[in-house]
Parts: sequence; structure tokens; C-alpha cells
Amino acid sequence: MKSIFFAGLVLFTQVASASDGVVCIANDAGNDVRWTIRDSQGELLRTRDQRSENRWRCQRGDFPKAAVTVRVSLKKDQYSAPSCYAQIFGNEWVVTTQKGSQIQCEVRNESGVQTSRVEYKSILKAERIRLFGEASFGQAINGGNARLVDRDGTVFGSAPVGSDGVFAIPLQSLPEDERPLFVEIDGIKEVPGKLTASVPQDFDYSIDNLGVNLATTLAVKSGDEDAVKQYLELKSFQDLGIALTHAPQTLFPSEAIAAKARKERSLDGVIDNMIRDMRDGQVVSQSFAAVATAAAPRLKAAVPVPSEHEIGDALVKLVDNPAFTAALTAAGWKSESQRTAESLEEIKRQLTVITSMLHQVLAEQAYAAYNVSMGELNPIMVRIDQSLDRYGILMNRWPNIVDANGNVRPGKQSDHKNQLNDIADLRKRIKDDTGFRSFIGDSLSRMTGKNLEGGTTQIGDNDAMQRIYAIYLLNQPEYRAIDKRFYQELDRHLLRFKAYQAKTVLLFALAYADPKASMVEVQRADYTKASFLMMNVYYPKTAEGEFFSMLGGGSMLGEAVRAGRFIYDRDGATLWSSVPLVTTRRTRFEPVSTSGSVRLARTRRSASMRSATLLPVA
Amino acid sequence: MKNSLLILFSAVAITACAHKPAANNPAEAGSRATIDEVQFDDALADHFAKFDRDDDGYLAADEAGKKCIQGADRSRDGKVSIVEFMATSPQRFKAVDSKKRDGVLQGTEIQAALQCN
Repeated sequence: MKSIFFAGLVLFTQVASASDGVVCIANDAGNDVRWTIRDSQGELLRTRDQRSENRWRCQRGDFPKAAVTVRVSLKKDQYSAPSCYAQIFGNEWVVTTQKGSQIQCEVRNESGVQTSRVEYKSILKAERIRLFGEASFGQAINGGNARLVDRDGTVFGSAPVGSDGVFAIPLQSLPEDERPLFVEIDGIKEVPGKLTASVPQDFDYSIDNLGVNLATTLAVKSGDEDAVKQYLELKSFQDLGIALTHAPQTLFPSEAIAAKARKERSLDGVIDNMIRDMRDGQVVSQSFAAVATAAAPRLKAAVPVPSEHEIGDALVKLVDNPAFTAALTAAGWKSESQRTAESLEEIKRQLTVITSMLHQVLAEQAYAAYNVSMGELNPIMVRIDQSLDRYGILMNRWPNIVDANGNVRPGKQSDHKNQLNDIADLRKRIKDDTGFRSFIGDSLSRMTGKNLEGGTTQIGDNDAMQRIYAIYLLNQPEYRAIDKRFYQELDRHLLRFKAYQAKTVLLFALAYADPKASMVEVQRADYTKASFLMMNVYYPKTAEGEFFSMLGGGSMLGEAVRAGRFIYDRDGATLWSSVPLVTTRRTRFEPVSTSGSVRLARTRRSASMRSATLLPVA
Repeated sequence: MKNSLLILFSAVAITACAHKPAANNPAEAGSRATIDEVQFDDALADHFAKFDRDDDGYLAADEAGKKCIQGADRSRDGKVSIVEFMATSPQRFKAVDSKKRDGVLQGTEIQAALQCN
């Protein structure tokens, strides 16, 4: 009860800074709505469903810099019916109502004045909507045709299947009713018959991705998805489209089944047999026991998890480095009266040393931080955040503090003491926290799958980031697999996680990137000014399929992604990256693309990951 | 007696702005559920909707109390728009989370963050 009393005394007197902005959507439509926010470049910042009972939902962001485009649709009829498109700035809001069957919108500014910047267009006409999917039949399908059809065979779009099993069906129209739709794939090399998948009712064509494989085909043909999951020994919440597309062979013998279908030249026959077995109460391992045994596992060896914490120890050694202590002492013990131009120069020099060292420590922290819960992570990241910001500010302000001769400009002061206090505090925290020390070692070792030596993290390991993501996601206690429900829930996790992700990239760049490399456009001293932080091509790749539409566009980001890099765009507050990540099983941390090539398809996971690439504003 | 006083103080503190968490808020349920900053935004938006009785997108003093208005009225027009209200969200969250800095609010912390006394 005491806590209630004290909590009640908290005062709120501050308001957001001028650079912050909020856009809000009022749902007076009487129906659920779906809205999106895109930046001036058209990149998706946020998509959200807002239920009719939630009148207000808001999104904070750095909106005053530029107008964003808000699209609001009635969720139940969002593609063909007109949606609201409004260019709005931060601190404006959109009120949605419904007139007849059509959504109506008004934009109001902070003074309540209504503007007239609303257009009404159908999503299909206003945006180049495509149904993205990924077809697999044991392995990714190369070739064939994908069609979006209804049960009567009416075709709503078609497209060839690409080399990685990826297809993108352009949509000119969609049925106005809610009839079931399916994607069919035929013309698969050496496999007569069709693979098919039903399009979920809540499928979001602008971000979701449809997996088409044996499991989805079984579900469509049998009409009993739950039974298929039982037959395939999947959890009830797992998504069939994803479950088999990236399932290890040891868990589901899809390659063996595909081989059988090819051999018998009858996919339909194999499917029919499986359905019969399913209805007889068998599971797939019984149906294909012999085949499964014969199928050679394609997985790499399990990642060893070392018991020792070399990295943690090494990190502590790093902060115990005498040079660090010396620099700290030399810089920190200057009295106010000694803060002459000379001492400032010395402080600056020492701060550079300290900053360099600390960045290394922080990078290790951030790297390790992928593997800890938000609760554990947050205090550390807050500290990192503050430290980095202060260093950036300090370094950027330095020319304004001292003149060309090193003299302090009139009226200017350096807050170096606070910086040094922070450094000392952080150092003490790292040193004293044995738990922290442990998780660094354990996390880094698990991330890289290696016993690391000498405290040097091999950032160049391409698999590392994939493992980082997989470990982080799969270590969430409520999820043991990447499935649809996971992604529905993941959004809120990602809103916070993405900040750490981007920050980690920033730290990587700061700490590890070679400033002399031509592609690295950041200097440690002025990172707050840098527009792009780019990782070398051999640095870890992360998930993103957003560049699908940018291929051939020749943009800087497109080029970078094509090259397999990831980029932090400070101006857009966006982290751009390439390959889809994550695995489907807790115990296996396999790259999604076993070939190692850059997979440019959007998968359902990458669709969700897309939101993870956007930084929330500070 | 001591308990009664605490209850009285608490009641005064909580009702200073006549604010109560929204019905679907973990705070009201008295559960140990935690919410992060993003979820807190939603809770605050629901909180706004609850007190915006005329649904005009503004809280007036008679709806939210003078203290709430003073704390958030950037435009000094005597009322708080939804965007003004939501702009206080980060500060509300941080003010309550500043001690533990665990990035989440729980139970009474949520209640405290929703208040604007």
C-alpha cells in the first residue's frame, strides 16, 4: 500500500521535446480498422489493427521532420474498397468514421482545425500490391507457376516461381466478398500435380508472405488443418506455411516425400496416401519411417555451448586494462581551476582513448545483449544509450567548446567530468556484476558457436547474427517455434528490440568497422552526424526482404542489400539489412538459406522482421 | 489505524485527478502483468478515451482536472489534445520506471504513471 501512496506522488511536469511527434488515429468507424504509416520515401513504418472498442491508438515518432502517409482502411474490406490516404505531420490526428460502407477520414491538427489532405483510393489501385510467397517441395522450388484462385478456379493473378521458390503475384483485383482464396503452384519440374495453400482470412498482402508446401497442400486437400498438424507432429499454434518450408529434414522428411513423389511421378498419389494415413490416426514418421531413415540429415553439427566464459573474463580484463585506468585518472582528476586550454586538450586526447575503449566494451555488451531478456538488458542498454549519446554530443560540440588554439570559447563549458563519472560508473558496474560477466561469455559463445579466445569476438561470422536472432526469439519462454501466433505477438517485443538491434549495429560499426574502409562513412568522433553506418560485406547479415522492390532501382540501400550488407540510416532512423533470419526449431540454429545466398524473398518472418528494422524515436 | 491512514492517503493520491486505469488495463486488474513502453502508450490512449466524455479529442479541466491540463497543455489553450496527452507518455513512463529501469511497469506503477497529479 505504501508503494501506491508514493507512486501517487510522482509528478509529470515535462512535455515531449520539440523533435518528438505523435500521430493518433481515432476509430469512430464502428468497425475494426487497419492503418499503416509510411515515411516520405514510402517505406512502411508501422502497420496496426485497431479494434472498434479502442477509440484512440497513437504512434510516436520523429514526425515533425517530414510528413508521413497514413492509410486507414476498414479491416474487413481493405483492398478493393476506398481507403483513406492522408499526408500528416506529427501532432496531428486522423478521425475515422464510416458512411454507408465506406470509411471517412478527417485530419485535425493540434488546434483541432480540420485539414483537407485526405484522398480515397483502393489499396489495389493506389499501391502495387503483390502476394508474396515461397514455395518449397522438400527444397525450394525452382520454376513453375503460382496463381491466386478461388474455389471455382477464377484467377485473380499469376506469376512464375523464381529460383528460390519465391513468387510475387501482382493483384489487379480481389473478390469483394470474403470467399476463400488459394494459391496454386503447378508446372513444378519433375513433379506432376499441384501444391496449394489457402490464403488466411487475415492475410495482409502488404506485409505477409504465404508458404506453399506439402503441409499446406495436405491441409487444403483434407480440409482439416488441425488433423494435418497432428499428422505432421506439429504444435497446434505452428504455421503450416512456415513449418515445412524451413523445417530440418530430421524433423520432417519433406525431401524424402518429395523424392517419392518425383519417383512415382504423382504428387497427388502421395498426398492421397498421406491423407489416408492421417485419417487412420498415423503420424508422418510412421508413414515415411523407412524413407525418413534413409534421408540424410542436412544439418550442420549442433552448436557447442562451452561451459567456460572466456569472453566475459576477457571483457573484464579489457575494462581492467591499465591504459584505461590511466586515461581515466589522467582525465578525470583535473580540478576546475586546472581546466586550461592545455588540460582540455589533454582531456580530449584521453577521452578519445577512453571512448575508444569503452566503445569496445559497449559493443561487447550490446552484442551479448541479444541473448538476454529485456528486463535484464534494459538497464545496461539505458546506460549504453546515455553514454553514447553523451560522447557523441561531447565530441560533436568540441569544436564549439574550444577554438582553433584550444582555448575555451567564452561562455562554453565542457561536461567532461560527468562523462568520466559515467565511464567510471559503467566500468564499476561491469566489473562488479558477476552475473553480467557470466552472461556475456555464455551469450557470445552461443551466438558465435565458438569458444572464443582472447576476448575477440569474431563479428565476421555470418551465422552469428542469425543465431543471435534465433536465440533471442526462441528463448522467449512462450515460444518454442516461429509461427503465426509468434509474429502476431512479436510486434510489441520488436518495438523495443529493434532499438537494441539498431544500437548494436551502431556499436558494431563504432567499435569494429575499419574507419579507413571506403564503405564506412562514420568516424567515431562524430557518429551522431553520420547518415549511414555500413558494415563490411563479411559482417553479419540480418533479416530483411524489404528491398525486393528496390532491386534494379540502383539506390544506395538497394545496392548495399544486394551486396549483403546492413545499413543503419540515421536520417530515416532505419536499419536496413538483407537475408531473412531465424530458424524454426529451438535446438537448431540453421541459416534460413542453406546455400548462403542472399534470399530476397519476403518470408512471413521477414515480414515481421521488417518492423524490427525501424528505430523508435528517442 | 496506520493501515487506514495509508489507505486514505493512497485513495487521495490516486483520485486526485479522478483518474482510474482503463478497464482492460493490467493496473486495474491488480495483476502482476507487466507492460512495456509501447503497451503503456495504448493504456494511456485508453485512459484518454475514458475521460474524453464528449469524444472531441480534447480533455478539458472538468473532464481531467486542472493538474492534468497544466502538465500537458503545450498550446496553452486550456485543454489537452490527444497528441498533447500522448506526448507525455515517455515522461510518465520514465518517471515511474526511473528507479528500477527495467523497462516495464507493473501493477501500482502503471496506476502511478497514468495519473497526472
